[in-house]
Amino acid sequence: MPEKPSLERIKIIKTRHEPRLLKQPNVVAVAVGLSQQGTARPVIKVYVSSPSSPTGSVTPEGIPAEIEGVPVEVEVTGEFRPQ
Amino acid sequence: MKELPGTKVNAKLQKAVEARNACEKDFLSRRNVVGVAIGFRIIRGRETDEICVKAYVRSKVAESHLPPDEALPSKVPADGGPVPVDVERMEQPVAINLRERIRPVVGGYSVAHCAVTAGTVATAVRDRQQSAFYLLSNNHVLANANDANLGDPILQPGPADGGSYPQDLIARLCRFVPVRFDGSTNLVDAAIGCIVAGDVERRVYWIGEPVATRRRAGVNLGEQLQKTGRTTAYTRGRISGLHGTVSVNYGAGRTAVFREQIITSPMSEGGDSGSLVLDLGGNALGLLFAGSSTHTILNNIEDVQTELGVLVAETMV
Repeated sequence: MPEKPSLERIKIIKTRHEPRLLKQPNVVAVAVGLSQQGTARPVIKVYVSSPSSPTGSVTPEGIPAEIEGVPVEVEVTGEFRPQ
Repeated sequence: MKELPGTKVNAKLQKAVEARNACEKDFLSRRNVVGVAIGFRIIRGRETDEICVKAYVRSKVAESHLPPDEALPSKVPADGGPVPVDVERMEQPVAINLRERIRPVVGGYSVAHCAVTAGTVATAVRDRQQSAFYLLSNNHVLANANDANLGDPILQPGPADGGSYPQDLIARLCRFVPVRFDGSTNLVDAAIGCIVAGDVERRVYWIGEPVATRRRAGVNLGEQLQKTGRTTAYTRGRISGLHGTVSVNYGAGRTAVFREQIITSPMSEGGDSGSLVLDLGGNALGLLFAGSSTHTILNNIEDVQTELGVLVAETMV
């Protein structure tokens, strides 16, 4: 599996779209991570402080499901604080 | 009948277990005894293959100096003949408390600037240029998130754990990377103190001395990590995110953005900030500084070394 080059590519795509993603409400972090859908493939992770809608949907508006062919996964993390 | 291999040993073990069980209560009622077990008998400092009952004592005292009810018998009766008793010295084991005062200081214990609550000692680090040694932790632990002056006292344990000046002084603030709250990005929340009273060891409690420093470029998703910290002690985690750009709320309306952060499964709580995070091979990889209930955030240790001009280990891998 050509994991290394694809991770590098995802990193570049992440860096390119990060400023826009971080401006969305509730978004506290963006990273390259492993999919939690059981496939363990690398994805763009968007971390949000709280679910964006009362229905429990975690994906805020303005976060696409995919960027330049790379899947985007949203995780609810709460707010990050110094420990 | 042919004897199966090991049957003789098993019979001896059985006898020793019986003897141990019979004398346990009696032995432990003596003030000097901290434990009872079975083991190999030691004669004149050398371990033999004779199985015996072990009595662990705080201090070894000649029988003639002991009150009769404190002395231990040299043998314990059992079915199939008496089993010898071996007396060994052992410190009474204590539950570890990383919030206590300790000298020399080791990584994993409580520390903080005199106006901060408590964080964790990462390890001792060396200056890149000179052979001077420092205590490493976070800026928000040793430099009160920029609100400190060089030379300010650093206490071990931290004030929240009863540390006070001057009794618990260990270091004075001598270098920190200011945390920028203006929207520009940060790499590390890190500071060092010059050791002015007592010693600080490189050793991290329960883990040992960091072997080497991991290069940022070689860190992989899914790697297992370990740390020892003031609040949650020894824990392990797994890297779930790399190249993280993370917004951290420092309170009082101050938010700082960090880039190139390592995001892990939850392995920390308040007070663990400053913990050195190592891979399972004992190489330093991150400096723990923030988190939520679901994730822990680490600075890359290579960035900590570069930004502060220090070395955590002499080699890089």
